[in-house]
Amino acid sequence: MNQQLRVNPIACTSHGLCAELLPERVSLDEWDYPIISSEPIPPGLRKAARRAVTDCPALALLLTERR
Amino acid sequence: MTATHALPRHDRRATGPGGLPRLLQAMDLDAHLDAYGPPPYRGARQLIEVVAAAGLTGRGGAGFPAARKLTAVAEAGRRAVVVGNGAESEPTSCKDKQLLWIAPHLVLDGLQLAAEAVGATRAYLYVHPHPGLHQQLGSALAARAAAGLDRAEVQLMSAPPRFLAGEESAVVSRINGGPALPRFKVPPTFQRGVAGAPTLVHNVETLAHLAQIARGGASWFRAAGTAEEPGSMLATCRRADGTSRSPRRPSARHSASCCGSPSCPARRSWSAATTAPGLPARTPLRCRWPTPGCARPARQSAPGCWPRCRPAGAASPKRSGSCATWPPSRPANAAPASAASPASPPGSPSSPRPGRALGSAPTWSGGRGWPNAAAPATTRTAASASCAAPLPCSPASSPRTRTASARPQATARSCPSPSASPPAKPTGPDR
Repeated sequence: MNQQLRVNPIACTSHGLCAELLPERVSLDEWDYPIISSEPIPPGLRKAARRAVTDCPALALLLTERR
Repeated sequence: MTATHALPRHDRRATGPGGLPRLLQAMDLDAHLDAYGPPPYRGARQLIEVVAAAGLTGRGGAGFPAARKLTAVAEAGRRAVVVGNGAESEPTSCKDKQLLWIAPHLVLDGLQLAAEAVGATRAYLYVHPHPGLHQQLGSALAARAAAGLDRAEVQLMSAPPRFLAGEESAVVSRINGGPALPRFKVPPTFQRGVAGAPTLVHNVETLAHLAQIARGGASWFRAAGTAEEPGSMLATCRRADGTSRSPRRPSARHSASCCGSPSCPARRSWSAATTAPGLPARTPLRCRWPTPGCARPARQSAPGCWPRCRPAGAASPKRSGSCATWPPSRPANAAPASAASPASPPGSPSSPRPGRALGSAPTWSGGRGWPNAAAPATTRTAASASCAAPLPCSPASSPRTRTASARPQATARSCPSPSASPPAKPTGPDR
């Protein structure tokens, strides 16, 4: 079960919390918008990924099953 | 990959190498049926293989392979919807609008064939509101319905006149009754779009190419363009600041003109196409730019520094743009017809000039494609700077007349301004 993190670019308002909670997969650009790695989320990172999704103030993160 | 209909008549009518332009052949339904025949329906998914072999990519800008999009929608497993997207939204682009004006039946054929390929029974044509365009498309649809050509029901949708209204998810949102704004595409449009159905959104130019590929086959389509990017492509050409923009590959691709800018040098192709029978005449043809190889002589009836066309054998563009026939004998309020006609709305009853119908030789001799490879953009810029303001030039300045005859290089800058202060900006009809 491969999971992947995605960001809704329309909802995101660049709080930058995701990069704090999941620095392994999320980096920030110069305007503090997230750049999300396309690599799948390994099992060890799933808890942190779910935390990033639920804690996003704009609810702009999404964990999807990878196609 | 056998062609059910080759494109013989169509190709004969086009005058250039490679049969370009492929799409911008003005046709009403009778002429369209005469040239292409009815849409070659061939059963669900059959067309996708041909499109994949042709290597058609989306002409809306992203260049996504059309066959992959078709396959994704066809494999979604539910009744699909097809949308022809003519809302290009980009303020300086009008190639989709022009295509819909000139060859609506090619686009509508492509819409029907795409609907058949993905198993759709409903289709939408989504265009920006433009004076007369909706009526033209509505009458085209009515004519097709009377002829019994369409299998999928086509509905015209109007896009709000703003940027991003033609983005794929914005199109779907608008058709669903919401605002024409992009959304986060999860799930993607090809799985869930209009009314929750799998939705295929293609640019209208892609659909027109698709309609031609269905007739001519993949090898015909690949006869133009490069191996990596086969086929032809429409582009908009504008002169906003005195420079002309070149297409990315002038040698490989044909570039169509733009209807928006009165000073677009390639405007002639638009004019020629729209004076074909069956379509409202829009812009009388004017050969306004010094074009190498143009056979038309400069107009003698309207003197002044207003070159229509460089006479064959004229030495340099600057010479041709000089005020050799100064002073102008024209009254100051007699604006050239070409200045007023581009602003006229489509469908306005401006009469087409006789002898300038589609296919007349001088029309296409310099206007098609980018034949001015030998004459770079600076050539046209120089000519436009010298001749942009023909009327305000003061006829009383006799020294300028001498200058014109003696030093034509200097005249190019000096003629528009009677006070001989800075070189006149291109005001007047060329703007």
